[in-house]
Amino acid sequence: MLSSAIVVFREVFEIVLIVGIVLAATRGMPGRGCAIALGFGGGIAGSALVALFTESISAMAEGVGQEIFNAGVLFTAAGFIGWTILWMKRHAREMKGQFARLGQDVANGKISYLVLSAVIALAVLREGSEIVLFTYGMLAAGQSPALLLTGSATGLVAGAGIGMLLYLGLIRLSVRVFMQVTSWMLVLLVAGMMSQGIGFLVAAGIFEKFTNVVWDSSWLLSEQGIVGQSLGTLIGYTARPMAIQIFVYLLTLGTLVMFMKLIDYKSLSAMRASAAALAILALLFPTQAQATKKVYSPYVEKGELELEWRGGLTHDDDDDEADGAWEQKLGIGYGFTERLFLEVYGEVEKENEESAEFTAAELEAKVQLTDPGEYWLDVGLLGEYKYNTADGADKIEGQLLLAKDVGSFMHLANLVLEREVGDDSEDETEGGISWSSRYRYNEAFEPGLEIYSEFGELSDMGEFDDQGHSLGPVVYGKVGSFKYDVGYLIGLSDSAPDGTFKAILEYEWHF
Amino acid sequence: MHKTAKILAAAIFFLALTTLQAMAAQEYTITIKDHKFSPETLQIPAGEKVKLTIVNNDPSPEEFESYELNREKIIGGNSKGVVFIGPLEPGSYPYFGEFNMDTAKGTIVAK
Repeated sequence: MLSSAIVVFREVFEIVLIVGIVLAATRGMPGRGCAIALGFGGGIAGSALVALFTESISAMAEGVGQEIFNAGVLFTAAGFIGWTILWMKRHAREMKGQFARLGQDVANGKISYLVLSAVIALAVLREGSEIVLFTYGMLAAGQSPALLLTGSATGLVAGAGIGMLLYLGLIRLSVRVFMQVTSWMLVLLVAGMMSQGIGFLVAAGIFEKFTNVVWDSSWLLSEQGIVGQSLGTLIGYTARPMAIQIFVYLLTLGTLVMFMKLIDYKSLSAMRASAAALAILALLFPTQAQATKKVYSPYVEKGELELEWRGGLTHDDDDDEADGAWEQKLGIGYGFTERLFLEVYGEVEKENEESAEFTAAELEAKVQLTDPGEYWLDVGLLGEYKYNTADGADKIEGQLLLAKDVGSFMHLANLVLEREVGDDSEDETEGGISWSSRYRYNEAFEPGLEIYSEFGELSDMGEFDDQGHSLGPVVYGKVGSFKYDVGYLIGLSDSAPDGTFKAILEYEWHF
Repeated sequence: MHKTAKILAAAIFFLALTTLQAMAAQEYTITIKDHKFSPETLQIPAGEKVKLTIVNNDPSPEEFESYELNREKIIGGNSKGVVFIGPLEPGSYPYFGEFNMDTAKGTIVAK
């Protein structure tokens, strides 16, 4: 009941806030009341449609795919709410200004009242559908409808009431604090929904890995009691969680927290806080604002689903920008055939003294050309398109991937060519070589060495110190389904940072 | 740019020549039946490349995997796959079937 109260409170509060801001921004404009009411009504009607739609899918799914439907609803609701948390966090500051401008544009006749209505309608629709999906998700999770209704009603009254009092200026409250507290509660809620969703997929027989129950805490807190049930929806408490549920919970939590902290880029302490938060996922190493260091093997495994995190941190006495700069990438990839592996990444960078930015989205394709051991060298190709979301042009990169086993040693070489494309691109092709040698001592521990040489623009390579050369010890290994690749690269040339910590963590499944 | 292009082209050509030089390799076969490999111990010559054909007579897929041999390959149900191993130093190299680890295991002995 508490969870529905919180969700509905937050959603209604947001709606009232938005409507309040728009009302304030359009003060004195004739007919604005009509436009806003129209938008509001439209949003509600849309949400009712979403409810009907969900209801009919639910009816279809009954018996046949009830669990799949439940999982789908939970995942969708989690995604919506998660996105709203982040969106709100990012845009809350700008909203007032944006709506003021919107109001001005309408007043100046630049845009019609219809746009005003549409903006309100969309906001209400989003919040409304989230409430609908969340409610279905909670029903799916076995919550009592009566409790849900009570909770929602409470949230509605509280959200609308407080919102209106704020608007009318009758009370002064830190909206920021409200939003922050409810955001954090929603984060836990979303993580819980994701873990429940995966539980349904397991029940439906769709997901079969890592379904071992990790612990049983029903002696401590039963799922059936009121506290247990409330905690169940509030933070996703299960007395007998499966390994995959724990994993999904932590992953969702970690991802949301990471993004939330990154949006909150104001201070160094926020950065340190996000570092602590990510400790769940990996060792946090700030990285160099050049490509994250990885030497690829040419091998592809069909049916392998991989989650990859890469991080790197540089320090450099001569280059202030690179000193303390970091970069992180998170990617997910799948081996579609025995020869083709595709992966998509998101990249976040922070240069020293600047704020963290989401800098790129990448699509990577790896093709295995030869069978391991069939010829003198194992060969593969890598192609990557980097879509730049910060300043700068997009980039294409092509690599020739080579590998060879020599006794207990494995050597890898990547020949790299890259070129900027699109707007703002410079007309130059850059090249480099990456090398890795490792001693395959055992599966969990393989000490090795990596060398990276970036020659820069191929037709105008410059001297050794103008190029980026680094070298250093790296350790690799596989523990269970986790693979790691951790090392420290020493800069050999002036252009390369003095030191780079790097870490790559991968988690694999097979489908 | 011309000079660099020529060097790159030559390098790739040279690489192509060396890698595509496929030497004739001795062939052996391992069969999977009822989640067991057969023969469980296979002897192959040391210091030579060997072509291993794995025939899966079970309806379910199996993954031939060995850390020591540095190979993993999924063989579908009722199909076969090829794995190249070697040249190996003399010794014993264990392998297993990842999907049926209790029963599917074997050793390759290089002599």
